[in-house]
Parts: sequence; C-alpha cells; structure tokens
Amino acid sequence: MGYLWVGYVLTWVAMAWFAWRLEARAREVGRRLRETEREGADERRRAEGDRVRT
Amino acid sequence: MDLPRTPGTVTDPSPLPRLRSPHLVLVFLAVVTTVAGSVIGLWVVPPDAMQGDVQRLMYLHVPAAWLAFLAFFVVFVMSVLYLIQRDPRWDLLAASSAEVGVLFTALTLVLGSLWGKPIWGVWWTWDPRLTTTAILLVIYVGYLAVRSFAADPERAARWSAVVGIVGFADVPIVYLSVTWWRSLHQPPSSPQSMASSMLWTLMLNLVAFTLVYAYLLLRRYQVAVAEQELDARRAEV
Repeated sequence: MGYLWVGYVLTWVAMAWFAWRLEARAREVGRRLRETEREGADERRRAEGDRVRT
Repeated sequence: MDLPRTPGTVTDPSPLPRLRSPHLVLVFLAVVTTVAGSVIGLWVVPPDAMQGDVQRLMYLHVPAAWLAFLAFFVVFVMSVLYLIQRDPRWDLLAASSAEVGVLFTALTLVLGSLWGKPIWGVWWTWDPRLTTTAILLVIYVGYLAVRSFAADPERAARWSAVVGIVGFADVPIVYLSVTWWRSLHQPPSSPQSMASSMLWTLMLNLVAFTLVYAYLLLRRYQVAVAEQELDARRAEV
C-alpha cells in the first residue's frame, strides 16, 4: 500500500507544483509587462513635454 | 488563442496573466476528472487478483505514458510546421509541449519504478521498455537544453525543431519495445484483456490527464507569448 500512496501523492504534488510554478511565472510576466508599459508611457510623456517646450 | 504573427510581436496587447474563463473551465474539468479518477482508482474499482492494490498505480502510470507520447507528438508536428513555415507560434507551442512532456515522462518512470519494486523486486532494470523511456526523457531534456544554450532565438528554434523531429523516432520504439525484444515489462493490454470496471477507470484517468495536459500546454504557451511580448516592448523602451 505504501508504494501506491507514494505514487498517487507524488503525481498530485508534481502536477500541482508544475501548475503553481506556471501561474507564478504568469503573474511575474504580467507584472513586468505592466511595469514596462508604464515606463513606456512615462517616456512618451517626457518626450512630448520636451517637444512642447522646444 | 492569441498568437504571435512575427518574431517579437504579439497580437494580444493585454498584459496576460489572469486566467480567462476558457482556462477556468478547463481547470475545473481537469480537477474534477482527476479527483474522480483517483477516488475510483483507489477505492471503488476492485484490486487486481494477482498483484493486489499496487496494480492501482496503472491508473496513473498508463495515462502518464500516454501523455508523454501525446506531448512529444505535438512537439514533432509543431516542429515540422515551424521548419516549413518559420512561424514562431509553432515553435512556442512545441517548446511548451516539450516542457509538459518532460513532466509526464518523468512521472511515467517514477510511477513505473514504484510499481516495479513490489512486483519485480527491483526499482530499476535495463529492460528495453524502461531504457527506451529513459532515453526519451534524456532526448527532451536535451531539446530544452538546446533552446536555452543557443543565444539567437531563431537558431534555437531551428535547432530544437530538428531535435524535436529526430527525437520523436524514439516514441514508436518505446511503444513497440515490448513486442520487439524480450521484456520484463508486460505487453500492451487490450480492452479484451481487462475487466470493464478497470478499463473505464483507466479511460477516466486518461481523460483527466489529457485535460491537465491541455491546461498546462495552453497556459505555458500563453506565458511564452507574454515573455516574447515583454522582450519586444523592452526593446522599444
């Protein structure tokens, strides 16, 4: 019975761990994308301000 | 599904990550069928007359092996498509499937080992089926390594596509190894050689694992597309 339980628990844990890591990676990429978007918008605003001043 | 059209550009401008409803439905179905398959496999279906309870590992071992084959078949098809069309979406799908395939191949080997110890008396033996499956794992770990070693993304995609196509030759060898060579591993079971309750439990677990694979593949692909988008935007900024 020990082998059986180890097999089942290991399978559940492996699949859940893979999915959890994937979701964590997705959140991280999402955060960095939003950050880059903000940086890009700030950059555009600054460039626009410079253009107006000159 | 949001697909990149050219390298470094993606059709979906939204910053991905929240699970969208089709994914949530897939996750729900995967969890429900996995729980049902495990409950039935552990407690409802009768144990094998010869092997006893440990035979219940079959309901995980066989689906994991099936998924390993399916995942590498997807890698093969996507790699062929990539080499023909040079469209990065095929490359990203192949790489995503390879990662999930490595997970299921490793599970197949570990579950087989856990089943082999009480039945054969050994954790591992250089049996044709076991050896060719271990080679399959090495091939696809190599596939992922090739992708990470090549500095140029286009070259990484091209080289890994070749590995994905050539490496797939091992899949039929794994499947047929039990009939080609004298093997400790049992030959493939057929519906006629199994009790119907066992067969249906196995089928339910096959469906469950396939749904888990579909979710992991699509989500991994989404992340790969978002990472490409991030690189493109950073290059612009």
